[in-house]
Amino acid sequence: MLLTTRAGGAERVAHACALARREGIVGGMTLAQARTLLPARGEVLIRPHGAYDDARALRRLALWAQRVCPTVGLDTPDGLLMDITGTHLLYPSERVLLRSVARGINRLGFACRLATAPSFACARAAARFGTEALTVVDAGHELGVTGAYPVAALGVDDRTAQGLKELGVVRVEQVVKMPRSALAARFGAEVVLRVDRLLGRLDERIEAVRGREPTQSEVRFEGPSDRWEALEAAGRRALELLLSRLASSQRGVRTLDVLLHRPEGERERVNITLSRASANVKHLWSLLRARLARVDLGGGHRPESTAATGIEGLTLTALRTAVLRTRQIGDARLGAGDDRHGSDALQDEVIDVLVERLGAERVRRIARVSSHIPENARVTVSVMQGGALAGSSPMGWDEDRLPPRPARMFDPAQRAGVMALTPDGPVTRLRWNAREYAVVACVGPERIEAEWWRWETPTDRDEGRKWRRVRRTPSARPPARDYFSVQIEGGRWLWVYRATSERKGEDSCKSAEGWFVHGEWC
Amino acid sequence: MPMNEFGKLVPHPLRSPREGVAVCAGDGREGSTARRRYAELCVTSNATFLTGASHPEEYVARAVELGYEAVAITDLHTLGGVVRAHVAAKGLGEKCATRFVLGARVRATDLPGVDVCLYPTSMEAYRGLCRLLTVGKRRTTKGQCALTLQDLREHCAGLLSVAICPDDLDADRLTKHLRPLREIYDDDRLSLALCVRYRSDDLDRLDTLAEVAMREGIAIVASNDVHAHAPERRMLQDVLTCIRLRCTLTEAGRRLHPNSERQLKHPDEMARLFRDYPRALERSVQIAERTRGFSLDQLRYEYPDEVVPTGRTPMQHLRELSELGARERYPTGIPEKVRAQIEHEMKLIDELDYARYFLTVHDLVRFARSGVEQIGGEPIPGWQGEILCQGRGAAANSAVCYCLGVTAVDPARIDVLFERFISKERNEPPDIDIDFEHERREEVIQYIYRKYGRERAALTAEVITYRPRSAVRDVGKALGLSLDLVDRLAKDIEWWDEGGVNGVKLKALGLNPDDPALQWLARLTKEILGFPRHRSQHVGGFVITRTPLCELVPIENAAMPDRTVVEWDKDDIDAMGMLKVDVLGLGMLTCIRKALVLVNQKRAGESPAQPALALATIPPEDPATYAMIQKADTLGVFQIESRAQMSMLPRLKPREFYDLVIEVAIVRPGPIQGDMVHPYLRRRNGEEPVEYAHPAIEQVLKKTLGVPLFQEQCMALAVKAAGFTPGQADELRRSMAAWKRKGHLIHRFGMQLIDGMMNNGIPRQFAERCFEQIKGFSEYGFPESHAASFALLVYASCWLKKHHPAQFAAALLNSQPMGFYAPAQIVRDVKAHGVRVLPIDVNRSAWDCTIEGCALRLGMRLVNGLGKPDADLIRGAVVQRGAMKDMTTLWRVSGAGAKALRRLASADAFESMGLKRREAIWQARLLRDEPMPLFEGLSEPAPSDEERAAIPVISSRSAIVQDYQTVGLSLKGHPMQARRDEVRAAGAVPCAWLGDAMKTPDGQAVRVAGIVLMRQRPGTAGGVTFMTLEDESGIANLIIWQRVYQRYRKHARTATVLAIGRVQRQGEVVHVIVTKLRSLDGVATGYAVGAKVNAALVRSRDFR
Repeated sequence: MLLTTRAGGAERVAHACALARREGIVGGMTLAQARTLLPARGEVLIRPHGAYDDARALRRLALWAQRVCPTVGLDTPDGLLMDITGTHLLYPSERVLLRSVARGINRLGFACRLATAPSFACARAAARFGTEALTVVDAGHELGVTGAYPVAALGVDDRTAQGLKELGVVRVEQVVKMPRSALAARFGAEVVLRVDRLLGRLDERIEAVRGREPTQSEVRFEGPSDRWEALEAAGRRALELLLSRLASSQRGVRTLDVLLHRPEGERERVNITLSRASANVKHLWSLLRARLARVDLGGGHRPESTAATGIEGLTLTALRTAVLRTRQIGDARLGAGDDRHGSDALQDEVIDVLVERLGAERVRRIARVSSHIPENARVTVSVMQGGALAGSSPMGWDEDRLPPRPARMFDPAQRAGVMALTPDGPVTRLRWNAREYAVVACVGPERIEAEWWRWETPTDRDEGRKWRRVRRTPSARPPARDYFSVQIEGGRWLWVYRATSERKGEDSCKSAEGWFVHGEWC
Repeated sequence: MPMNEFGKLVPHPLRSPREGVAVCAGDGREGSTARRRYAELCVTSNATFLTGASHPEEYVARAVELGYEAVAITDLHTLGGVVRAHVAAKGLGEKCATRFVLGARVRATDLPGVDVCLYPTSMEAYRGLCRLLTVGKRRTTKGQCALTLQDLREHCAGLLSVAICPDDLDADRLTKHLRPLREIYDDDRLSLALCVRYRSDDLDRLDTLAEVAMREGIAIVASNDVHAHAPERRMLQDVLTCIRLRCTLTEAGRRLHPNSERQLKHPDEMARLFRDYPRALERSVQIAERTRGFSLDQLRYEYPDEVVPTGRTPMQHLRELSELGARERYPTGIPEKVRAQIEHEMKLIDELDYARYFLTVHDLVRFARSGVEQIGGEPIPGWQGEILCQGRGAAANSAVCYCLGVTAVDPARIDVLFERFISKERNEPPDIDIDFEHERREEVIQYIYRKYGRERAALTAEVITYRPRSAVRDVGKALGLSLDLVDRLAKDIEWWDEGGVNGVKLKALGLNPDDPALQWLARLTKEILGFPRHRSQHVGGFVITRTPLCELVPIENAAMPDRTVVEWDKDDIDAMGMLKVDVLGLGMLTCIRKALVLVNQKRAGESPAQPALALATIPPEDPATYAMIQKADTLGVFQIESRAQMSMLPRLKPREFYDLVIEVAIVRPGPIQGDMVHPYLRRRNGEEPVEYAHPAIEQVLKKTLGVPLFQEQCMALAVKAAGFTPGQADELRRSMAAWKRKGHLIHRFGMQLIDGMMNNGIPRQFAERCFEQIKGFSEYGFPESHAASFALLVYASCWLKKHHPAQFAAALLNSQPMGFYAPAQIVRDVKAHGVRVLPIDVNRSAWDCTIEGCALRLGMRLVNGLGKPDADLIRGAVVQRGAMKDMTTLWRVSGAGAKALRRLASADAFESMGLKRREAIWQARLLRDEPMPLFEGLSEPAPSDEERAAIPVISSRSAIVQDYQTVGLSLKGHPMQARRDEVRAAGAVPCAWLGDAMKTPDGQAVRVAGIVLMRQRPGTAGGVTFMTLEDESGIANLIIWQRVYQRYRKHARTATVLAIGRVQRQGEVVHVIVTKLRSLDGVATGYAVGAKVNAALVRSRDFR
């Protein structure tokens, strides 16, 4: 597997998996170069490297590491600096500490190299350049351990390292031996500073990562209770408390986590997700209440359960929050007084209630897809799904130019019998639903051809359904439909089409494959 | 569809002028009495890049087939497709009832959405149209055009117009859009296009349009706003749209056409669609009729006048000049044969009126020689002396060109068949390319612009068309295949051939050949081949005219600043009979001139009386030079320096000039594919009798011992042995040049050629080989005339290398980058020839490499990252003040940048100051460019004041490595030298052993190690990789079969390798057939990881 970044014109390998590294691929290579090293037949995954995701993951890891010590800093792009002053006393030795941290990180699915040292710089050097995965550097041994490391271990930039290399200075100990002022005059004060930090002559401060504590509220009872009224009152209070804490930051809840405390430390967890951030107590409570009502309060209903009955309290956590969107009150186009805010919010709340009851997948909205094929031009998606749809054009299209489409579409289209005078001339009579209609007006045709690259073609059996996906080899000309808007006696407007199969020449479109009613304007 | 058998790969009509005749004859249209009359006026061809889905020729052919009155080509803001359509229409002959109407489609920025198609009715109007497009194009960037209504107004004379309005306009907005247009195109010159789009609102829309048109007094005209010649192109059309919009088919959605109705339809069908508007149909024919006043045939190209002095005819002047030149060329008197040849050529030139063309070429050469703008004037300011140049190409090797000084190939030494290239049958200008020194070509180009002005001189366009690889890439992306898959398919193009998918090869790639996506890919790739993708500029083809050029053809800006390009490519220019001079750059000319300067300096030092040496006065037929060539000691010389060429030399053993001509021509795809190389060598070495299958062949092939080697010979064979007419032979030559790109045509000729030869009693096998060879010529067609011009430079460079190796090497180094070899190899070679090479030194070196006594002093140009200005400052200071004693003084006196001095220190260029490399670096590091006010006035901290720093002593190996990193070569030794013990332990012998048949007999197992100088995998070698290794003793040539390469590719890609294999000896040519490869880069010293260091060692020349 290779992760790549695009720098300048060329795509370069950012990271390579161990297998790829064994083939000689290293970071910084162009992808083209890497390809020549890869075996011809092997399956290679090539994915773009998400530097942003990496940074986020590192941050999360830093927050995790706070369980070891309170001050954890980032050594971007892939390192953590931890101030274990004090903490190390909790372990029999520093090596044990390292082992336990390594175990924890491994369990998260990461590989790691760790080192402890009297200074951050020294630990960083030992972790990155040491011969072993776990290194302990004792005070006074800084130079002894790091002296043999390459200059890069100092943390100087590539240009300085290159310059030193030209002088034959490639190891840390060589740098340390050089006259300080002469070194600073040639390579800048930075080098001397780095040396001092490495040897612990100079303190280094790190910036600790601070995680944002999720807003919480908690209500505890004096003892376990199995009364619904108590739970209801506590829930409501906890919710109000939570919202009042959120109010100062103008945020609303998107995901609400409810933790029910049972006796003897047992816990039960419930989640509520909203379609849009909300700070409306009434609305949230209606959702929360419905959820709490399903909680088993015990009291003898589950005799086989060993769990003690009742609950001891509950904690609400706003797991995800979002800034509340401020909305325009009153719409200029519709004149003053029309409070859209109210109706919109109401709509959201109705959706939330429906989602809560039916599940997010079952509550759907209609989304448009850029396609000429009428039945492909709209799809339904979950209301919770926002943003652009896959398959729709990123640039959008000019909505004014959408051709007229009926509000109601039949799926599948219904077979009909039609009398027309000329190949693409007006329809005169229509037989549909076991009745025959005289046609009053007819507009058309609008010719739409199949999306040939989907290899779709109608056959006798499935015409009237969607243009089915049939695997086939390239043909001369895709099948087409000629659509007519037809008004039948009685005033109903129908949308009918004639399906033509694959056409080879100019005139073969006369051989119609059948007529169908596809929709109705109502 | 009889027309479409090869419809996808339509060649330029010029290449197949007879195509389509059959179509015209058929159809039997005379029979149908009530024929509908219709002309299609709005047609977008593929000259509107990535929009139109058919070639202009296809439209013409299809329109003829359907019995149109006329068909127009109206591409958006371009006349790029009209020449092709015109030629195609002309090829149909007089009988053909369908006319071609020239047009262009324009958009005004202040009239959004409305397209206006314009058609000139006279030559004057055409000029106006060209000017209009030029105005719009010159105003903005390449490929764009910005026009306003005001521009349309200013250039409206004689133009008819058809407006195509957006589909969704209501009557009011329509009126508003049409009024300004009606004012511009008054006198009934404006029409409004009615198009049936097969949308639901067609009837309403046509009604509205017709109504508004009537109210405003504008005529309506039927049109289909055509984007493809036939409905089968819908798929390609969609794919083109996707390529243009950079999306996939599924993403494109409604931006694609909903149906394939925008094609050329039968007139009956048009009549049915427009049954309510019969006048719209009539109008289309009327408009076409009104454009009868103009045809591209009226375009009269005229040669520029400047080159002829007042009071003389061009012919008189040409005669004078060549007389003058001839007397100079032959001081002892002009040989009778040459005189007769000149007379003969003059007659032809006079007859065809090409005198001014020859004078134009002569003028360029004259300028390059003298730097004089006007005859009798002074050289232009800053003139650096003669620019070497040499003519090349068919007409260049004429006696006239020799006398004019355009070429240096003596017509007495080589057969010249002038008419073969200037044929009376085809009124086409002769073809002369002129090579100039590559570093100074720009001076000549600027001279052309100065002399003729930007209005009258511009570069020819080069239309970049789809080749299989680019086609697979773009079509694959549009089909939505993953980028990775597309890459793989494009790389290993072998799975695809013109027939479609090659299942076996596709399976080898691990793919399913029945996958419809791949079937589509194969089909669409085939269709899109030859489609233009974008316009670029030709490398050096200039069009020069007497009248303003922008009135002949629109001119646009090139991507390069200050360059302007005409819209037509080389074929179009040829077809319109316009003059084109190719001004090309050639590195070897630079090198030869620089070498001559150095040689002349030396000779002046030796004896001032000696006349200066020039290209023309290099002693001919020098045996010592040929002896050197026979030994293949030709590193760095022109053309015969590649490995393939070098391995040929000992076998061919050139003895005279003509052998060099053959040598240059023989190592080419043509003779190799035709399997002509070995027969020739056998015959030449007397191993096979020279015999001729037919007396006609003897006549043609006598010079080359019965084996055809040159392009001309194949043509002559076609005429003499296969019964071609000269015109057909010429077509054959043209189709040769392009069959890979667009050519089924050559196969037709192939049949004709083979049949014709067999009828004359020539064995089939020979005939087939001739044809294979002709196909091989397609890539690098190599005519004798080119070979002769090149051979001259080959000889000159070899002579210089033989007699003045130091000067030649210096010139070669000073002309880098060029040729096959890196400076390290050049220096190594010159040392092997006994020349002492001195290192770069700030107190001795100039920017260029120089000659010090007999030794070669490397120049500062070899130092990586050092700029010429700094080097010149340092050199200037040293020349003025003498050698400097320490670095600080040099820095202050010269004013060169600290960074430059640091680079020089890294390159170990301070020896003469007694500074070792690391000491120098240590000192140079102290220098700062920014002024330091605090320390102003204080003396510079002298090194002695400082605490002595312990700088590690450099090892000889890392000294060499650093030399390679900073200079690209080392005089201290070879990188392999330091590793000899290690390598010997691995069982490797020095590369030089390979030269000794005693030490390494044929078939012996052997191991060699070295740094990789180059890897090559020529297309003709069937997957074999050639690799050259170098160690301190010499080089080893490896041959790696594909299987072995695949297995060891990881090792093969590294910089230092150990090769295990077997010796193969063929005469003096020695190869190692590799069975195993091992990388030596893994061996690290300290922390300097081997791979990184070695990567910087050599700029190995990979896969060229």
